[in-house]
Amino acid sequence: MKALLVVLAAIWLVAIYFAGAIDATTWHPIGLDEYGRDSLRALIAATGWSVLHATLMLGCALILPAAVAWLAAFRQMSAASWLLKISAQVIESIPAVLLVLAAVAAFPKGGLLLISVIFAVVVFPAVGKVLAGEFSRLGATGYVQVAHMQQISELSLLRRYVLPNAVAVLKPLLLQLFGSAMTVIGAVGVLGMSNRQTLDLGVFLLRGKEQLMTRPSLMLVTLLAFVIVFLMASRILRLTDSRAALQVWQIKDIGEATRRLLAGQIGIVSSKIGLIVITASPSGCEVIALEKGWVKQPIEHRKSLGRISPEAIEKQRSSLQADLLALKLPICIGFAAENLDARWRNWLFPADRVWQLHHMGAALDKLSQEIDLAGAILAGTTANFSARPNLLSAPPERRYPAVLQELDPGFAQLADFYLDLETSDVLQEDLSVVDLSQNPAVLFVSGFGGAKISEVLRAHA
Amino acid sequence: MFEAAKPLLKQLLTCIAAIVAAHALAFFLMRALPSAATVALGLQSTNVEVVAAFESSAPVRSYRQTVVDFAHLQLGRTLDGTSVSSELLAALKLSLPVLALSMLLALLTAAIFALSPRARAVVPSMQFFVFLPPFLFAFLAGSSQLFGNVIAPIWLTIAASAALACCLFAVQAHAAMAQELALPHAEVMRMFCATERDLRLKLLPGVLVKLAPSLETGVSLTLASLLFAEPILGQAGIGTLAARAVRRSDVDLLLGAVLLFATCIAIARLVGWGLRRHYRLPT
Repeated sequence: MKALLVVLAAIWLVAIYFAGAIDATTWHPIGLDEYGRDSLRALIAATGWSVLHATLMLGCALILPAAVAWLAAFRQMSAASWLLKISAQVIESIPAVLLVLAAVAAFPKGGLLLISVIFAVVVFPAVGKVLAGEFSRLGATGYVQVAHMQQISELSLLRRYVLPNAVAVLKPLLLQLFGSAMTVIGAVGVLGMSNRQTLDLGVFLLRGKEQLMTRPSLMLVTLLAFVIVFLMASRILRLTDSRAALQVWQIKDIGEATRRLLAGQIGIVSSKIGLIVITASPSGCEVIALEKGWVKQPIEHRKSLGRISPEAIEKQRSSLQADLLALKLPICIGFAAENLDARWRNWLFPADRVWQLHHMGAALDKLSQEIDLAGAILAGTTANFSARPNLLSAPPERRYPAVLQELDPGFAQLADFYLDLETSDVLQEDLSVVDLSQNPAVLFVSGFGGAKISEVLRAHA
Repeated sequence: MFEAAKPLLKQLLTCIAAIVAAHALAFFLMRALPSAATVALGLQSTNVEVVAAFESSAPVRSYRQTVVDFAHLQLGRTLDGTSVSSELLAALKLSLPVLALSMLLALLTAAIFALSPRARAVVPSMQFFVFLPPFLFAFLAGSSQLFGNVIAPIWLTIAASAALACCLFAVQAHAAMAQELALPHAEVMRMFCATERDLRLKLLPGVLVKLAPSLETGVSLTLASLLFAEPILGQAGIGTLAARAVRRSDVDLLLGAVLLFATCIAIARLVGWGLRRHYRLPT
């Protein structure tokens, strides 16, 4: 968000500067326009203003559909659902740009505000449908339902549980909306419905077409400006996407992966051995978690565990040990929120302090930015970062309440085991005593307790 | 018999209701337009007598009257005094081949992208092009005049109108083919030593059918592109007609254009629905 604001402010400043400097130069690479202005500078200023206008329209276009989609998906308001359905049938029967142009013709002095409002109405069904679908999908997830039952404020639910996980859908939608907004802004100029002196890319296209034979450079440069704007927009979206920042390497050899990790070429190594995933990072933490699909449904995976032979478990254990030895890194294990039954999770971590981020990149990004580590649970797909310090600092009676022991007598034993675990040696020795078929609920993570463990290890060394 | 035709009837009624509602929406938007007299008379519009004479010669119709006229297939008169119906029919006669060829071109592009494994390299660019404004393609096509009139304007119009739909269908066809290739029946065909080309050819009809839900969007994109391509490339047709109606605040003509656009999109919606139903895809 901050990056986006900085970019917009920069564009605004550039637009202001070039709009002011249109006449203040003697260098005219693509000539002067009919008003004696330098075309290149006018074009740069026009590009800046068009981008800013499109961004404003984008903001206006998101508010109404998001509100209606929220009402339809979370409040189950049938009127909102009907509004989305009917508007989709009616408004999508006419090309959006035609409606906006008609409105601009209706109120020639309405300006940007009018265009923004009409644009918001016109894109309402398309945006509303996408958002409602995504909100419904996320609303049906267990963690949102539990948070909802815990009476977390809707704003927190939206900000912490829903929007971060809707990013994959929202970002392409934003780009699409930006494209539509640029289309509308340009169309007004292209069809000659705005002042010819206006600093607007559509007007430049129109003038470029008029002067195509005498001054083709104007048309080509304007087309280029459009393409650059769209390339920049998609690039900015990609840059602000923490998912893209997480670059994945596929290295089969764990030794090679470790070498690259230690050389600082990669930040995290994740290795899957059967049902177990190991993740290591230079901060000294290693993450061990059961594969997500396997732990998602505790009842089911208990059954599936029952089908796994003791030999298979032993084999996995050996593989795990081999990998741990190869990694040569300290180990820290905590509780994976997502892997716990909802009742346990909600006891351990107050839901209003939890972020549900399903992507490792997004989780790391958020973690580095603003999450209070002691209260954070970042549930990733292959690894989970939990608040081990929370558990360690909690009084014993809060660590393993009676309710947990009732739920699963093995829990307290297992929890004790992992909480007291300090070194990889202990893990290697004691892993054999953990009977996974009896204690399927958890293998776990860790996170940032890892650094602390490193210190302990160094002290021992 | 009635039970079998019931879903079709329901869909048909929904489409008609959508067209009527779109017409009503456009009508009430148009009512806010500046008076036609202001546009037609220019400076003379300040003269009350002249305006009264103009309005008596071309009275403003109420919505009820408009609907009644519409039921009698009378769409009113343009600011020039010609019949809107005849103008629309003439424009449609010119634009229909362009529209049909554009859609054909889009489907052809989809087929090429589904059949060619090498197309994968171009798909990200296509995804990017879908976001570009439709008029850019028209201006790009218009820029070809720099090299002389090598290509006839009508072909440039078709290319510019089809560009967005082509990109959309190409991306979707490529994704649908990738999905089909991962399915067990494709695996079975591979086990029977089907070559990649044969496999893709056999899967092509299924992939094209999967584009049915996007038919409406494709037609809508093509119509939006026509709105710019025709006036920019100097071709007559429904795009030019609609642009003229917007520029001149010609209420009846604009309503007629909206009706025509809505009907085209409703037909595409109906065809898409029919295809999905015929091939047992979710409707």
